[in-house]
Amino acid sequence: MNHKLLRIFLDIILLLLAVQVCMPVALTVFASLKSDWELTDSLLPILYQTEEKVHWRLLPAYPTMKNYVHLIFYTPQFFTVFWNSVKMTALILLGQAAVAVPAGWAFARFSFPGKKILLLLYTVLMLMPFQITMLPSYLIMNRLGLMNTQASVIIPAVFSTFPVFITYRGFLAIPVEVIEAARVDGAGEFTIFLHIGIPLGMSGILSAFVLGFLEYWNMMEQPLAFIRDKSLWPMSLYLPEIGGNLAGSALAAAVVILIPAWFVFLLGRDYLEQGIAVSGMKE
Amino acid sequence: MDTNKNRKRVIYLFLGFLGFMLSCTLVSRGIYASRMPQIKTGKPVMQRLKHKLELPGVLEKKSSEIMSSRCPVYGQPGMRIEEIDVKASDKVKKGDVLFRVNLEDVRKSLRKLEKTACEASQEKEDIKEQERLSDSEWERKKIQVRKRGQEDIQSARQEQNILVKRQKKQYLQAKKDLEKYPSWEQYFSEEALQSEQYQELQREAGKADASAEKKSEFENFVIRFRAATRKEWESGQQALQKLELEAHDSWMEAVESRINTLEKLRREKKRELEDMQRQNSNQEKGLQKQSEIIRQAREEMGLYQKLLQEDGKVRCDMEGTVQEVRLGAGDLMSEGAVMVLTEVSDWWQFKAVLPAEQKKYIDRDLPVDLVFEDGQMIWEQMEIDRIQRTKAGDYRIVVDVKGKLAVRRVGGNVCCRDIQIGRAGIYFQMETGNSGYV
Repeated sequence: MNHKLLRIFLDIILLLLAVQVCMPVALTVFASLKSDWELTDSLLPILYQTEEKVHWRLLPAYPTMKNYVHLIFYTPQFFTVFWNSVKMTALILLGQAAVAVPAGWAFARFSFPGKKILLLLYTVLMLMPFQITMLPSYLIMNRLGLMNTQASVIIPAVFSTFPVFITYRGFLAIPVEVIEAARVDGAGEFTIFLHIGIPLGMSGILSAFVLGFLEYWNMMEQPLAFIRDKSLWPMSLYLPEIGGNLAGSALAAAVVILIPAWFVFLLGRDYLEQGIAVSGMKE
Repeated sequence: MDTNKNRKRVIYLFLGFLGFMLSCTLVSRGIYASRMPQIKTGKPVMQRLKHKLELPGVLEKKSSEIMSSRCPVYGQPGMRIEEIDVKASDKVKKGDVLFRVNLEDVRKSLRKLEKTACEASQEKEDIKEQERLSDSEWERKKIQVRKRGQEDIQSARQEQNILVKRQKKQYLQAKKDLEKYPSWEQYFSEEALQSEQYQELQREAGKADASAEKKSEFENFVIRFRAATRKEWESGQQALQKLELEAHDSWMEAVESRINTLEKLRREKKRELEDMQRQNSNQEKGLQKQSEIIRQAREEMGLYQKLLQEDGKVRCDMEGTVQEVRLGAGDLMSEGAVMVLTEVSDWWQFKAVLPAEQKKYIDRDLPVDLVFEDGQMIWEQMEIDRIQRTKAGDYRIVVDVKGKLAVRRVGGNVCCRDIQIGRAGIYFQMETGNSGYV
């Protein structure tokens, strides 16, 4: 009985926490279905800085798809930034696939002088926030003549240390015997990497991709620091630019931005769990 | 299997989402582009510009139908119309009879005016006579008033002087009394001499065998006596000082009063004179008024006499067309017009042909010069009034010539000297056949 009560109590706590976590998303989705006058009425104290209190209804009184229609058909600049985000994220992930995956395999399967120091350095760099590396990155991009281009965001992200670390942990989980067996069968290093390492380390790779996607789909500091031209900005910077009088469009845009991330999460959820689990395993 | 199936489903959905976003992108951009204004561009072509343009043309009389102005014809209020000799749309020229008025009314009005003129004349004479009389009267009065004023001022001055002198005398007396007032020692000595008790005590104390008691008594008495006497002396002195001050103040007041009184009197006399002068100028205004009445009456009389000479006929003094007749035979004329004519005047204009390719240099109201007889006659600073398109595709410049003496049709040139290189200066043509201006 006590066990059951405790279970119910824990369930309630968890449910409340889950509601707390989901509430912002729910508010955004329902608010995107509100009409302009309803939003203005609710947000009046914020928009015009009066001293009244904000009153917000969860469900719209008169739901409408007008905000989505306006966003999709009458806001071409939204699609510009959407495809900017898609392009930048895709290129970054492809670049990471080309750079971080082999680097992770090298760290996992080869011994070379300075490996531990390099790994330590990678870990430290991974933990450093962007604000610390922003200035040296700015100087380098300026010297390369890449300022105010999307390459100034893509190139540093491609050489990020985080996916190296995640894939390294994923490759570490592959049993050595499998690799030795392949070696005995005459497979070369590249063949082992391609046919054994990548398939078996897919969980690590995909979890790195999923986390990378979520990070770069929502990135704000890098494009804000390196890109001046608003037509090159990603969606994450576009949303704050929308004025208060277009709150409905801003909310609809926020919902649309959520959709790709949701898809990616659905696709890579299993791998994400595996990757997190693998990265915690000890040999 | 299910996991793979779900995964595939999610992938297809994601790709479908991307495809949807792509199609929305194209639709959105299409809608946006359709709302934008069309802009076409082309290459500009340089053109040679002329700064001076000279075109041949001819000076000729303009059609009189175009320009006209309304001229109302007024009659004399109060007179009856005998007959109207014209009707609407009749063409009239200078000297034509428009209508006739009743001669009896004319004579009546004339007599009335003569009477008015006579009365005004009489009034004027009376005023003049009055003026003549009043001139001498006024002069006399002026002298009288002036003399009286002077006398009044003189007597007032004397009176005030006496008052001032009196006050001065009192002051001097008070001052003298104060100066004469004895000093303290003198006063004390006199009082002491007069006081028997003092003398007696002094005698007693002055004896050789006088006791100390006696001496002391005398000393005490002297002290008391001095104190009392001192008080009396001071009060006497103060009283005299007070009298002197009061006398001085009175004297000063008298002086000030003299000044004020005389000033006031002078102003009064001056005002009196001014009032007299004002009365005189009112008479002059009356004269002017009567003169004006006489002048107006004579002017109207002139008109009526002219009418009488013409047997009551009112003639036209210009060439034109009768546009409207407002009164008929037997009607009484009022302040309004009897009829309205349309004035027609000769108008000359200069016409020249303007080639189409030069049209862009020319605008209406552009200042031009008209040159005739090989430059021997130049009319400067004329303005282009109209630019008309001809059937041939060219243009015709028309310059209305106003205020110039023109007698015959004559050829000449129109010179446009100050051509501005404006928006039509550079143009370009595109393949579509459109053109633009810079």
